[in-house]
Amino acid sequence: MSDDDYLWNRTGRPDPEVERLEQVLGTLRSARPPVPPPALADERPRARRGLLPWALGLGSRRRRPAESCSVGAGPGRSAQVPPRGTGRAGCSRR
Amino acid sequence: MLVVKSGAAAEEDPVGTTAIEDDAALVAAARAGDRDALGQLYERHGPMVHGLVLARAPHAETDDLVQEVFVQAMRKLGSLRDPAAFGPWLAAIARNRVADWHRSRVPVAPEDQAGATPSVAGAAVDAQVILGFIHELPLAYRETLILRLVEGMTGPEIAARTGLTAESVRVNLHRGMKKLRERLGGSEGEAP
Repeated sequence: MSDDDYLWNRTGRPDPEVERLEQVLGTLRSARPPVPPPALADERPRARRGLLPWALGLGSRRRRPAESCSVGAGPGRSAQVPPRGTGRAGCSRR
Repeated sequence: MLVVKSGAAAEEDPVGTTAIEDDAALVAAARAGDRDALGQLYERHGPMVHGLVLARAPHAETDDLVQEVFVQAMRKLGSLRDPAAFGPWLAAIARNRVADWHRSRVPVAPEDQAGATPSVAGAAVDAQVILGFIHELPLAYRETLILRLVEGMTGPEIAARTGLTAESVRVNLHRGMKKLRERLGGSEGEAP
């Protein structure tokens, strides 16, 4: 059944309804750029305290409901979080 | 630094066995303190975790819960017995984290799609309304539909990443989509 094949692995005849749903629901993907959690090596010497600044960063994001609730609000959010490899939001290193 | 290629390699391996082997290599590197390996694990599995969380929690909470899942996973990485099973192991952490979140929160009315306009006709389709319909489906259908329609994963990818059998994923996608079509059709009929 071609419709099922499209739903399964995007082969066969495209199903217009599935395509429409992909397009609409795709806006719910995470707009947050990948920011890896602190590496284990960095956390070990500091035990729990090592995570605190990062956790506080999470807390501050929670206090901005308009931002966290927005759908596909990439630009506004991206400005708050540095791109991967350039540092982490609210995470101090030593 | 360990770099694991995706894209073309993934296309040649739709079932994802190469991805599983790559995961094992990335986990080993991450355990040794390779930050890039951690980043690659995050990038590869972020959509799966996001989808599993979104199947169980309100959209507004999802990003924060995803971050918490990864923090928990990185802390426990040393206890993962089979590095090749990183995906299913991470999926279990995600499911448990959302269950904990539900237990700890003060009960409130569901997020509420109940008050949302049921019309999904034409171009005025609202992602949040459709998500509300998906949230009304049984959990197994919810998970696979969200991973497929929101995160853009194919059935074979869903099976490989979550550890579910391909057959289960296929059945859940088929039945879930059938129920969602019924729901969408019914709502379009209800439109003013």
